[in-house]
Amino acid sequence: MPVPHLELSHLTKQFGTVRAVHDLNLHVDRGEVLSILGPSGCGKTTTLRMIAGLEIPTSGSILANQRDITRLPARQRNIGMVFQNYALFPHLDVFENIAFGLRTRKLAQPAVEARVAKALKSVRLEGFGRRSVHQLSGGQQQRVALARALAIEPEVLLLDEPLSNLDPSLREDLRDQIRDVVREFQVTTVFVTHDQQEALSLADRIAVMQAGVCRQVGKPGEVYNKPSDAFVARFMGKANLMPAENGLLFVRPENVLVREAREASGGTSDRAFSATVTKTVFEGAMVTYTLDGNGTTLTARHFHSGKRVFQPGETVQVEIPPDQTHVIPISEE
Amino acid sequence: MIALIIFIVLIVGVLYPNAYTFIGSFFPDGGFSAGAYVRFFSTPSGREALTNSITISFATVILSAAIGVPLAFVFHRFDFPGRRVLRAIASAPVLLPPLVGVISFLFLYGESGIVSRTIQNTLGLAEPWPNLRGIWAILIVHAYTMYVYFFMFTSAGLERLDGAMEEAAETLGASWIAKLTRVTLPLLVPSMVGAALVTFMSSMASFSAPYIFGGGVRVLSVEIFNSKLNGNTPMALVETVLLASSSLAVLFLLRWYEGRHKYSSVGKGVAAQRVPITSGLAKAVAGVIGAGVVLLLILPHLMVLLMSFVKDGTWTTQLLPPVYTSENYLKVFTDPTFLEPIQNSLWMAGVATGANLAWGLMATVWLRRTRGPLRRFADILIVIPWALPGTVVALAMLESFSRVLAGTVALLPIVYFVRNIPLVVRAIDASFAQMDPAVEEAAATLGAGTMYTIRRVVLPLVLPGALAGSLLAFITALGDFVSSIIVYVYSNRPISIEILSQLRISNLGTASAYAVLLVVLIAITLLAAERVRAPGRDPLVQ
Ligand SMILES: Nc1ncnc2c1ncn2[C@@H]1O[C@H](COP(=O)(O)OP(=O)(O)OP(=O)(O)O)[C@@H](O)[C@H]1O
Ligand SMILES: [Mg+2]
Repeated sequence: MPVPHLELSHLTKQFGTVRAVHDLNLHVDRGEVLSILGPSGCGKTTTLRMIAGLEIPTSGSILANQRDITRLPARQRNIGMVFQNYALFPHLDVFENIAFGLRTRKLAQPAVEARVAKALKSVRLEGFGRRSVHQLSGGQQQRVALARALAIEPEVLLLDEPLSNLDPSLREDLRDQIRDVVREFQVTTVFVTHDQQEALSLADRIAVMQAGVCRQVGKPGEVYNKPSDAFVARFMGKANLMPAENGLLFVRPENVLVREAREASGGTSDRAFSATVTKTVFEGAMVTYTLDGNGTTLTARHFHSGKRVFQPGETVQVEIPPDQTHVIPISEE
Repeated sequence: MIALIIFIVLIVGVLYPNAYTFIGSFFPDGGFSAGAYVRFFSTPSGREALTNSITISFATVILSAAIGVPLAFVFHRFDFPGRRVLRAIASAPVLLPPLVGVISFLFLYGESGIVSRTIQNTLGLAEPWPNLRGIWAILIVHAYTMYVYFFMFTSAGLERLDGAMEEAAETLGASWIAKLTRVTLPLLVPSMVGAALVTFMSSMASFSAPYIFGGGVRVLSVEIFNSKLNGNTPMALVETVLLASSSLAVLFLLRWYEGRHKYSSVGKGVAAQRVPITSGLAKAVAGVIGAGVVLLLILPHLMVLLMSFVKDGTWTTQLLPPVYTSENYLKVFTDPTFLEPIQNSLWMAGVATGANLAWGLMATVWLRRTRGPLRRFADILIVIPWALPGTVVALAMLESFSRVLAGTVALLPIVYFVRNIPLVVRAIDASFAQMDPAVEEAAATLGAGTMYTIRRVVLPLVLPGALAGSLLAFITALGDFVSSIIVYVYSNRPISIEILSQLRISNLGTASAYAVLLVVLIAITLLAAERVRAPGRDPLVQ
């Protein structure tokens, strides 16, 4: 196993009586993109700020390259951060914003210009150097903030909800850009979001947090398909959770197959059972059914392309393929 | 180190003089006794001064509210021709320093005032009218200069008010009167309390109006000066303590009331709609009223301007001054003795304001990084000069520094500095509050140290607001009369003192030329203040 680039161990942060982060253990490998995902107020920003050195942990430690940086001042960490509201310097133009971190490092002017040009190019803002930051759109401001953080060639890049202030239409485009830039610079990245789509599409690994506690860390597929508890299961998307003998039986709605009742005779499987449609929501490409099978409520969601849309009251045949299910052991929850 | 400088200034400039005055008032003849207080309260004149001060201040608040609040509503609710110009002119009294306002009222509405005589002649009265003097004169000057507080605070309050709230009340079936009394006015309470507070304090502190126009009406601020002049220092100290404590009592009372009536709006606001005045008749009426109001507001300015061209000693019993000349200005600018007060005012206000800015920045940077009792202590000391009348601050400093600085040119600029500490610190504080704190953190993550961040990020962002605030401080120092008259020496006599001396020897023209000069300087400074707060420099559009 490679040595982790960044390691958080038993990290705890207490604000008065509020425990923002509790006993957090995480590691990020070199060049890896880790996403911290969780609902509002779960301690994501606090975690990021502790990594950046803007907040001192109540207890626990942070190691970078196996060196303890828990109490190192932010300015000595060489960790780039993109703030939730970008925090661009309003009195400096785009060029000077990006050059700021290079000037604190006392780089010679030609080197500064070269690095700024490279950063501008990578975020596709060539020619914007002399613009005032007031003249930029939200998406452009976001990219300047990213370029500013990358220009210092940081050990680790931190992104705090980089897309949350943008129009939904812009988000996807910028998400792809961030992915390209991060891959291009091969920088170890931790980014925070409350949007599971963002996390699933951007991250190599995802850490799901709730109320200051890390519930699960894993590859996007694992976290989505094999959640370790009910909270993760529900937070990552719509989930069917049914009581089973050794815990909760978990299955995503897209894996709940729904067929015409007539087809049942095919003898496809013994796991098939019949259920009544109680609600049908038509969403364009997809259709979502709420089903009632012997008293258990189930949700199913499918592309309906070409197929007939079942109406409430109809009886249908339901099947759950066993390889698509997962048992969540009963926890303290 | 920085903390040390901050506290030395606060302790020497604020704590020591006030403590000295308070304690000194109990040691009238060397030993501890409340004798001076007993003497004060046993004379009818003492009690009269105290009750007059308080009565006049309450009356001023009511009068100023009666003018300022309706005016703010008119500008906020109606759209009429000339609205913007009129709005700007509504703040015209701000341009007049207290002393200048008083003398122009004297020239207009006093016994031999132009308006008084005109009314007497046209109506064929036996006496000039209104022939202002005494309490009414004081009240009218106060109302003219202080209604602006109510106007501005109420306008700002209305601006902040969520129009949707009134619309909501309307959909719930509220009549306009119910809307006003149950929704709008309650929401304006904080603004009004703020205005009442400032008006009351300014009125308690007011010196020029009662001193020049009061015709023997006793008020505390003037009594302090008189006691001092008569060499009755123990009495001056007692009066100072009483003036200070009654001002502070009202301050705390209103603050407490304000605290219980704080509302914060939830959700995003909707601007209220202005009702355009469209009918011809209504427009004509509005036009006439508007013109009348403008005239009333800028008549004082025009009056001093006119008087500044009047040859000294020529205006006696005529309706209008008969002889005009430019020699007053010529004299003021060329004769070194006449030029000196201008130079004095400029350097003293300049030095004091520069010190205010430098110290204010230092103090604010430090205060923002500090928590705990030391910080609360500093916060309190910083507001004290604001809560205390100018006479009090000046007298306290004169008495407490009697062995070192009194009688030197240095004391007056120091007094200006101390009096403006709260104003400048508050402006700098507001400037800081507008700054996104994340930019400092961003600088830190980019490798900037504390000093580098302050120099390259914080100062450039905060300086425009700080400078604008300092310019306002410069204006108050430039126009100051109250503290100047207590601590000036001949060689640093400022413009206001020279105006008074010229009035004393009936050189109305020369006095007015100085007054016009003061107004022009103030107007230029105000424009400069607007300029430095240039648009596009505000913190990043979120
Ligand atoms: N400086 C602070 N002082 C006191 N409490 C704080 C402070 N900063 C954060 N908290 C509390 O810590 C908890 C976690 O806050 P944090 O900002 O890390 O949440 P978050 O996951 O980033 O939320 P969001 O998605 O809304 O940004 C919250 O309950 C918050 O109120
Ligand atoms: Mg956050």
